[in-house]
Amino acid sequence: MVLHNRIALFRAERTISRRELAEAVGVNNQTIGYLERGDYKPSLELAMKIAQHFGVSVEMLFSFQRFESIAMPLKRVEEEE
Amino acid sequence: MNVSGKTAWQKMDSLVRWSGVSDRVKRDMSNELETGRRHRPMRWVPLIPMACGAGLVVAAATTAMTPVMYAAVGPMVATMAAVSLNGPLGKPSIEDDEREAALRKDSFLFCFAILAFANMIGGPVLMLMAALNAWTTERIAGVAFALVVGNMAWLGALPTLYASWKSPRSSVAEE
Repeated sequence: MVLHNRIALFRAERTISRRELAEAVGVNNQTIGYLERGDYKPSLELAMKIAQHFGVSVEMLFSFQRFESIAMPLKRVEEEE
Repeated sequence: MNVSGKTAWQKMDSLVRWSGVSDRVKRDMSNELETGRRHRPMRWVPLIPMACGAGLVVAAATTAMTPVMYAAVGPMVATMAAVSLNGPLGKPSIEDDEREAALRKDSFLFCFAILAFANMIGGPVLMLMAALNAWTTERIAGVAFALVVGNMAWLGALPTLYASWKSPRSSVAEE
């Protein structure tokens, strides 16, 4: 089963590098790259550490369903206005 | 002190520096992130010591160990060691994070399973060959030596091969 994630998005939003995130959660910076590309599924501990670092719930970062693109909510807001 | 002005010890030091081993140890013991560590996937090179190891066992069983075959063991083991040290599993395991530890575990588990199966089949076959062809003690000793070296070559190279195919190519990993 594919585990989708939004680590790259959160990282870009907070303007932190892979290395900074890696150091904060105690892994090799290559591992962050593997996670972002979906080449590696993290342990519950690592997933929770990353979520804690960004101050969000695990579900905000990881999902079995594909995450909605950023453009869609923006489009909806624009339509509502 | 000799004509070149260097003692034997100094010459040995120069040889070690020339081989690059001292730089490698310095890099591996450094806490700096940017030390140029090179543990890259090796998707084809591990096949060389593995093929040599298998070839040595087959050659020892079908003919007999010749001095040339004994001489080939040194470069083969050196290639295996180089593959193992420079591959994705070459770094000290104490530095592994959870992904690297899982990769190391899977790689060695795969290797042990393959080696156990190969030895389970190969052992009785060789014993049968020895009994049917009335091998001499020297011949049996040669085959035993080839088996040790062959197993060693596979134990060194197969986990690296497995880990390399499980890792993305270097260009993707370094994005």
